[in-house]
Amino acid sequence: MESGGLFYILVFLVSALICVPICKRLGLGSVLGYLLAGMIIGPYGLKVIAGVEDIMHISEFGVVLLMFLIGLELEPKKLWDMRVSIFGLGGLQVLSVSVVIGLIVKLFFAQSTAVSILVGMAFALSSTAIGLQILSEKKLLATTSGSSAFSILLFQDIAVIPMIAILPLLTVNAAASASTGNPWASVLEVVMVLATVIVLGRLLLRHFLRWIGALHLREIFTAFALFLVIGMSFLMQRLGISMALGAFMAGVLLADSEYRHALETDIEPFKGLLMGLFFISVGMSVNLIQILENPAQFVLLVLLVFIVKTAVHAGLAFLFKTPRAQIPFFAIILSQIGEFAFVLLGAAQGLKVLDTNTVGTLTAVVALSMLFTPLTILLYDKVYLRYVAGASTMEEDKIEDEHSPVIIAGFGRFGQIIGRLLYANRVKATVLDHEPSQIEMLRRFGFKVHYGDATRMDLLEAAGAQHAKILVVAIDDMDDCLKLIDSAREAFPHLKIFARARNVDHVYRLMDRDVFNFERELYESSLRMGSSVLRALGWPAYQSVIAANIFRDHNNQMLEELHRRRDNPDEMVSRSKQARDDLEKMFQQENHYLERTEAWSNEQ
Amino acid sequence: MKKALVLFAHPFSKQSRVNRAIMDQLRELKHVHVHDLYEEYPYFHIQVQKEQELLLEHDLVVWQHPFYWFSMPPLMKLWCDEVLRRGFAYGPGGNKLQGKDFFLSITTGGWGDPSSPGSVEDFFPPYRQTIEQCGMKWHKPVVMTGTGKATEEQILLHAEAVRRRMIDYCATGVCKDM
Repeated sequence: MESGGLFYILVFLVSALICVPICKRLGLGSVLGYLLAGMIIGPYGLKVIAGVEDIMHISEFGVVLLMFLIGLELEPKKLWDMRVSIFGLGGLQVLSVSVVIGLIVKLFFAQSTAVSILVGMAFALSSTAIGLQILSEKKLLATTSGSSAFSILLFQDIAVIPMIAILPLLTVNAAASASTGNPWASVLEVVMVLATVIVLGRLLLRHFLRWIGALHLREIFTAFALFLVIGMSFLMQRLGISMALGAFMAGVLLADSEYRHALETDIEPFKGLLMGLFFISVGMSVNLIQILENPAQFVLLVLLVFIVKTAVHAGLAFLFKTPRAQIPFFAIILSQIGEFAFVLLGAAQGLKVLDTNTVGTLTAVVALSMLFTPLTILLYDKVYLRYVAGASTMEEDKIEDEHSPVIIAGFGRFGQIIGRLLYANRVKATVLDHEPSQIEMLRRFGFKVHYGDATRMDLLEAAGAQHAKILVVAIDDMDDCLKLIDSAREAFPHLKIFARARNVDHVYRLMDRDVFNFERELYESSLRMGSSVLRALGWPAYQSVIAANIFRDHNNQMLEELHRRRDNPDEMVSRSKQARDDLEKMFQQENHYLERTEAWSNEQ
Repeated sequence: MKKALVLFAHPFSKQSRVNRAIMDQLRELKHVHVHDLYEEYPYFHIQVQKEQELLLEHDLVVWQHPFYWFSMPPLMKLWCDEVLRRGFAYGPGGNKLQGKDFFLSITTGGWGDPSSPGSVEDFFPPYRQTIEQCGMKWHKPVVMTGTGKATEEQILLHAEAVRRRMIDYCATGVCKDM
C-alpha cells in the first residue's frame, strides 16, 4: 500500500468508527474497541497498515496529552498532599511487583538474573493510558481507590527513568555500558532544566497566555496550548525523561491559572483521538501469528501476570487502608502491563539483554494483558458487582466536592458587584470572563476567575455547571446572553438562571424564555438617582424614596402586562398611555395621603 | 368556615425555634393564610393595597412576632403605619375592619416571666388601643415566655395550642382563650 498518509488516516478512522461504537454498545468500553480495530488492520490482521512503530511514536502523544490534562487537574498543593501515596504506595508497588515477578521468572522459567530483573521491572508497570481512561470514564478518579491508582501510575512514570538508566548495567556486553557517559552530569542537567522550566513557567507563562488571550483568536490560543505541551515533551525527551512526565509537569504548572478551563477544552479533543490512535497501535502490535501457534501458553502467561499483580495490589490496598469495597477494583485496574514495557523491552533488545524471540513473546504478553483489562473490568461490573458485592458501593467516599454553588458568566461592572457581595459573604462563585486584562486585575484582588467564552457549554461544564445551583448571566452582548441561557437551559436544566437585562426589549426576550429573575442594568441605580433628584428639589428624603419605590412597583407590573400585549402594538401604545395616567393618579393619592398623615398627628 | 390571616414578623426567622414551630404548624391549615412580612417585603416597601385586600378577605387577624424592646419588630410597626390608613381602618369611611377578630401571639426570650415584677401584659395597651381604634375585637393574647430555655417539647406543645385555637376559630367562629 503506497497510497501514503491520507490512506492511513482513512483506515484508522474507518476502523475506529466501526469498532468503537460496536464495543461501546456491547458495554465493552471504548478501549477494547480501539484495540480490536488495531488488531484487525494491523500487520498480523488484514495487513492494511505496516510500520507499527512509527504510528506508535505519534500516538504516544495521546498519553502525553492525557498526562497534561491530568496535570491541569492537580494543583501543586494537591500534588504535595498526595506525596505519601505517590512515593509510599507507588514505590512499594513497583518494588514488590518487580521482586515477585522477577523471582518467578528466575525460579520457574530459569532465566538469567539480568533477564529476571528486566522482566520484573517491565511487568511491574501498569498502563497509564488504560487505567486513567477507565477511571475517568467511570468517574472514579475522586475515590480513594481512584486516587491511589493514580498515585501509582504517576510514580511509575517517574520510575521509568531510573529503570531505563540501569538497563545498561544489566548487559553483559561491557562495550554497551561504556557508552553511557557520566551519570552525575546528566542528573545535574535534568535538575537545572527542570528548575529553569518551573521558574520561567511561573514568571512568564501567565503573561504570555494573557497576551495570546487578548488577541481573541481561538485557534491561536489552541495552537499555543499545543505548542506548550509538545514543547515541554520535546524538552523532556531530549533530557531522556518520559514525555508524559514533561507534559504532566506543564499541566501542573498551569493548574492554578485562570486559563485552565480554556486549555482543557482546547486539548481534550486532540487527546481523545490520539489516545484512540495509541490503543489502535497497541492492537496492531499484537503478534497474532505467534499467539495462534501456541495460544495456551500465552493465555497462561497473561493469567499468571494478572493473578500475581492483582494479589500484590490487593495486599497493598489493604496495607494502605483503602475502603474494603474498593479493593477489588483497585487491584484489577492496575493489573495489566503498561505501554512503557514496550519501551523497556525495545531498549533491552537493543542492548542485547534479550533475544528477538523472547522480546516477541514478552511484547505479545504485554499487548494481550492490555487487551485483557477491559474484559476484566467488564467481568468486574457484570459479575462481581452484581453477584458478589451486591449493589454498587463505588459511589461513596468521594473527595470533597469543591465546586461553587454559583457561576457568574461575565465579570464586568455588573457581574463584579454580585461576585464581591458573594465573596464577602464567603459564598463560593466561579467566574467566567473572556477579557484577559480584567481577569489579571481581579486575580490580584483574590478572585478566582477563569478565562473563557461562557457561551461554550464545554467550558461551562468545566466550570462545574453540573454541581452549581445558580448561573448569573452578566455578559454584555444581548445575543450572547440569550444564547447562553438557551443552551444552559438545555444542558443543565437544574441551574436557576439570573440574568442582567440591558433594556426593555431584552427583558421581553428574557420573559419569553420564562426567566423572571432578571434585573435591568441601569434600573435600580437610575431610580436611586431619581429619588436623589427629588430630594435635592427639597422633598423629604424618605418621601422621595417612597416615590421611587411606588414607581418601581408600578413599572414592574406594567412590564409584565405590556409583555403579554406585545403582539398587538396598538393596544400596547394605548395601555402605555393609560399606565402613565394611572401612575400620576397613584402619586396624587399617595401625596394626598402623606399630607393628611401629617394632619392626623396634629388632630390628636 | 371562617378564615384567619397570620401576619408573621421576624427578621431572622430561621433562627427562631418557637416562631418557626408555630409557623410550620399553621402553614398546613387550609383556612389559615400565613403572611410572612419579612419574606414579602425585605426592602421595607409595603404594598398597601395588597395588604388591605388581604385583611378584607379574612375574619380573624393574628400578629405573630417576637417581642423586641417591649414592642413589635420594625416592619410590623411600619405595616401598621402604612396599612391601617385613615379612610380604611379609622376616620371617615374607615370601617373596613369593623367587627373582625384579633389576637396577638408573641414570644419573649426569657424576659417578662409572670413571676417577675414587670409582666408582659404591661406592654399590651398600645396594641389594644390600635386594634380597638380600628374597630376590631381584642381577644386574649397568646404569650410564650422564656423561649431561650424552652425544651423542644414545650415549644411543640405551645405551637400545637396556637394551632388548636386557630382550628377552633375557623370551625366555630368563636375565639376561645387558650
